[in-house]
Amino acid sequence: MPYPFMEDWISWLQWISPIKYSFQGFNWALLRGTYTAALLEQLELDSPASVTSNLCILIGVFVLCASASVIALSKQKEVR
Amino acid sequence: MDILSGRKSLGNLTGEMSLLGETMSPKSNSCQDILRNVVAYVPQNEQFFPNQTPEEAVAFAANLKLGRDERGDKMRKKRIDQTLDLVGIPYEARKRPIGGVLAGGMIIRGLSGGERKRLALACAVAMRPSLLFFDEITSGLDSENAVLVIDLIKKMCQNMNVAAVVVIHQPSYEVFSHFDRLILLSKGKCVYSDKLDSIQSFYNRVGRSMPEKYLLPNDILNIASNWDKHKHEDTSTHTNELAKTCGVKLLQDIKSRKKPSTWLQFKTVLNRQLINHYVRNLTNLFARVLIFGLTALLLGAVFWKIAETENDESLSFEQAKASFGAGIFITQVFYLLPFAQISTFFFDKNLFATESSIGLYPAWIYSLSQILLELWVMVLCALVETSIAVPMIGLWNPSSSSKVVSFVTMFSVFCVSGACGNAITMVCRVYTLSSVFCCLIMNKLTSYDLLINSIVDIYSHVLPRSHLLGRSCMHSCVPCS
Repeated sequence: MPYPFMEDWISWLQWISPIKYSFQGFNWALLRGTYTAALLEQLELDSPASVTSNLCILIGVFVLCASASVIALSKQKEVR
Repeated sequence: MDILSGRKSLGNLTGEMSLLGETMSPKSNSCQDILRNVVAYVPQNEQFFPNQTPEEAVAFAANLKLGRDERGDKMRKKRIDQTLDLVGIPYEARKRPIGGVLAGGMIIRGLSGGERKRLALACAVAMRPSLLFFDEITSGLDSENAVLVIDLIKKMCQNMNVAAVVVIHQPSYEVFSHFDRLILLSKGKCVYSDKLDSIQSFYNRVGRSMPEKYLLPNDILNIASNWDKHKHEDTSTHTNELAKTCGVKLLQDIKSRKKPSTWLQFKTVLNRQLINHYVRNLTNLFARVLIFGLTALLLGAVFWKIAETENDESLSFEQAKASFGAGIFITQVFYLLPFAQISTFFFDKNLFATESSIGLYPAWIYSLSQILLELWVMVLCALVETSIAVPMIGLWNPSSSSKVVSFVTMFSVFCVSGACGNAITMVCRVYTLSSVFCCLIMNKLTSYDLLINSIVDIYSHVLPRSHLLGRSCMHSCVPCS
């Protein structure tokens, strides 16, 4: 469902979903510099509005998840 | 034994332990460090990578515990050969895979049960311990191999001046006769702790006649199983024989032992994971790449040329909307397919639990090496996906200076998305929720065993472990003579 049509109480979930940034990155990679890119703004797929920015957020998510798994595993000491 | 060997430090642990007259709390970090430096533990179910060779397994344990031998590769090889000679692993088997079941179910033939036990012993010895703990080392072995293994342990203890604590539940007389000392436990209480030669005094105390020697092990176990603590006074004796046996060496070891560098540990673990999970398990790697390739082909066929434009300026709005659909499917692939790697993670978990609990390497080293290795696999998968899906669907940006630029941009997006998907899978795995999630998402509800295992895993972290206490078992100690 496009973001503008989502209910307010659930639409905040988009901000914590890495799939949003992957999808935005894909769309900007395909449409940047063309007049069809206006469609991305209408569908609120413009935050952030560039491939690089979306990639940076995804790298941040990767680092966060990787660090979380390293820390969580370090805390797991029980052997059985 | 888990607590004594430093494998367990969590949970409701009370009391103190004494090592060479120094009283320590088993939960303290200093106690853990000391124990892990001087103790080697051989678990009941030894864990090895099926693709690893016996030589590599011994070198791995030695490298992580002692660091690389500064006298060079020749000396290192010689030490490994000596260790394998000591446990009697045949020369021709040393360069062949250890064998077992790979993640995914493929079976690799390798060492026999007895040889695997002896290899586990070799790995423990390679760490140059002062104390060896064996948990049911003879389980799963026939009587001949059981005696062979126990005889080997005894000889090693005598030659290397180390002490061994062997937990055993149903020893034959031939096995039993190898022990020097016996610690008999019943319902968590010590009912006998002395030399095996003095067992007659135990029978005198309980008012029974000693049976024929061949019936002795079973009879002792029967007494322990039916032990009534109200009827018999606490007869446990506390001796410091163990400390006398290896005390001086223990002290020397603790003071002189240098830890290998973190970089060496990281390199060793990374190399082992790389070779065994990817280089020698090409079927797994190939299957993963193939799945990505086939998914790309399927999506390419469904969305065939939908984004292909005749004018070089822009896609039409209709084309853009259709390509959004393709984009949703392609990006989802990079978040869902990494969950297919779950069986590898479950396979690794057993091995990791065994190795990390004896302090071979810190957990973060394992995690980081696995993240890095998965990263390059995702790069490969993203390359395959991009190479197939982009030309088939026609996902070229009309305003790009060339198709190469457009391709590289799309590849970067897919690559980073795949890395993210992988990292999320790793987090889920750590909390052992991944297989439930995986079963639901991948619609594999038929794999009940995976589902049940993960639920048991989750609850095993929550439920108390009192059921582990109170079993009758026989702890036998073999100090060097």
